[in-house]
Amino acid sequence: MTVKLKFDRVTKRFGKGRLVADDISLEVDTGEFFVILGPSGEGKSTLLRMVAGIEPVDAGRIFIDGQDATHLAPNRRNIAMVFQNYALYPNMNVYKNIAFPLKMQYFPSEEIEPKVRDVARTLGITEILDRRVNQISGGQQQRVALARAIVRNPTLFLLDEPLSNLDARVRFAARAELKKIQKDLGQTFLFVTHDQKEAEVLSDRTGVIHLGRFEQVGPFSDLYERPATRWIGDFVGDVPMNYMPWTEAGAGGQLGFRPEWAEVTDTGTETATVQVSERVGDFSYLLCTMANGWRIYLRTLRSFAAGSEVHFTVNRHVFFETPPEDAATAPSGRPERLPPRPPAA
Amino acid sequence: MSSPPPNPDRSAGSALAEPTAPSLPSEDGATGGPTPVAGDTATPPVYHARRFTLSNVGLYGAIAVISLFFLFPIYLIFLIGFTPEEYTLFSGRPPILPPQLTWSNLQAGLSATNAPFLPSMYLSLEVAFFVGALAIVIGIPTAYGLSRLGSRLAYSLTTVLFVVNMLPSITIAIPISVQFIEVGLYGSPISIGLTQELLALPVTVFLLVGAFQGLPRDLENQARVDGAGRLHAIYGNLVPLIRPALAAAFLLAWMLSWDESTFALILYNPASSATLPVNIFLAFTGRGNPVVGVAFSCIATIPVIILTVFLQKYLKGEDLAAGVRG
Repeated sequence: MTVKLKFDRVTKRFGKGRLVADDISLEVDTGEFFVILGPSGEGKSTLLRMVAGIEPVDAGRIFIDGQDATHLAPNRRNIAMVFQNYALYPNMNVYKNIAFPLKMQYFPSEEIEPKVRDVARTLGITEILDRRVNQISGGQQQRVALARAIVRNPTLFLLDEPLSNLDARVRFAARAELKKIQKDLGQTFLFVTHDQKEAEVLSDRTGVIHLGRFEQVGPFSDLYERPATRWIGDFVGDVPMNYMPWTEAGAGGQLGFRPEWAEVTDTGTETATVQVSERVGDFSYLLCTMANGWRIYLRTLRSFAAGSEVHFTVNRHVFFETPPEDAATAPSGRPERLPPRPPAA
Repeated sequence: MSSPPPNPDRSAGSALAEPTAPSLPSEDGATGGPTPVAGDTATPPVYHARRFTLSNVGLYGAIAVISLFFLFPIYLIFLIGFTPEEYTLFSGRPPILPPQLTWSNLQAGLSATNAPFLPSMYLSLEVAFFVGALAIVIGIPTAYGLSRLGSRLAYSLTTVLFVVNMLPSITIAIPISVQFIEVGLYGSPISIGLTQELLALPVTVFLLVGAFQGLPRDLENQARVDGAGRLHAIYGNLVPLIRPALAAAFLLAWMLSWDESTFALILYNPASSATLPVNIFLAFTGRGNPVVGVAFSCIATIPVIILTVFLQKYLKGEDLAAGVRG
């Protein structure tokens, strides 16, 4: 495995204020599908734009194929990028859009035509080659943008939330297709999204970015099964992780578990009071309150009424050691989208 | 939707037809959804021709009055320019309709030995196209640069550009004339054009900055990533998209020059010819025939109309509007 792309202590600040990249170092291997995951406004796109060369780097260096590309002009990096809005050239038809990168490389037109037709056939857009880009659907626009990226055979693809503008139904198919295209091309994809489902399905590795740093980098299953921090535990997964005060090997901290890691049985060792019960498919999701006031989610096949007591056993867990000075404020510092938890008693 | 809904525009009509239920039936009609209430759905939508209402009369009346207000002076110019002068200037009560039409005023101007009009028109056209073209050539890079600055800085810089327009032309025209005399360009089309450019350029830059700012930044970024150099990204990808603004900017600069008389008069070298506005001015101020001036005022509108019609297809750019999502 050779390193395709390398961030070496990259720092980026917007204006004088916010750090969007805080001393980031990362290596992406050749042929890897790497997803940068994070909530909105965490500077994911900025990272991608720095790789593309359309956003200057404040400090640190970016290497592409082992060569310092930090100050290279975008047109000299041999990369392809799909922007969130696809940025199709409105004054050109679909064919000319796809042919544009080849023209910029001074390919003779008799070589351009077969290449464009070839990639159009792969993506199933041969019929719309003569159309204007505002006469085609969102899904087709996405394919055209992808075709334009693929056509000149770059070795590094940057994709900035390319699926977020699609309808849910189209998005599902486009996601699967994207993964197949990447495997067929065997090239490196750097993909930015805020949708963890996309990260889960597409990525070989995912890096979760938070406050300008990678909070955790690894296969998506690792993020879910073994979150490195409580922030990851809360961000990854449909519902935030559950926590209980815990002491392990003499260290104080919290025990974290996902709803499906706990089993609701009448002989369970822990007790909680059901606040809200939601039926989703076969399962009931129970929002419960523990004796210390902390809220947890449980999943069970049985039905419970609000106000009733529920017993459960935690079968699997992860342990977050809380430094003593943080213990008092541990439940704070959570992402805003979650309901606030009462502090530890 | 299963069945084609009635035109929502007309649904107000069906609401009128059923005064008992004012808003509900019209909404059902617009969405085409099935309604459980039997009586409402049984009534087919009623289509009304557009009504000639009192408010319509008022609207068209107002349009007529305003049109008359703006067109009447032009009609008067036409009247004076193309009727024998004994009916107009030398008559106590000028008629509202021309009793007789004539080309003689025009011919007098064309055949005049002193300040003939044909070279004037040629000079004016020359200068106007020069001003228009130069406004575009300088305007594109200037506006692009300004559009890429922070909006606050760009705004103050654009304001600074308008300083010449804020000062009275005459205060600038005289020192400039002196400069042109020194370099030996006094009275030449270039000297007139360059001076008028001072007035035209800020307007075109202002217009083009807005056009550039209206384009998504990612279009340029995409072109750069796709391998275009900066110049190609600007002239190959962005400039074609602001064609309507370019056409408007050219037209504006062109017309500004075509009408401009202060600079043109100060820079007028009697040894060569004057621009059309200056020549018309001279016709009124003593040495010429006022009626000839009026006739050529009328003629002066023709190139403007031709140019506007010619640029019409570039002025509307709806076909370029879409193409970027989000």
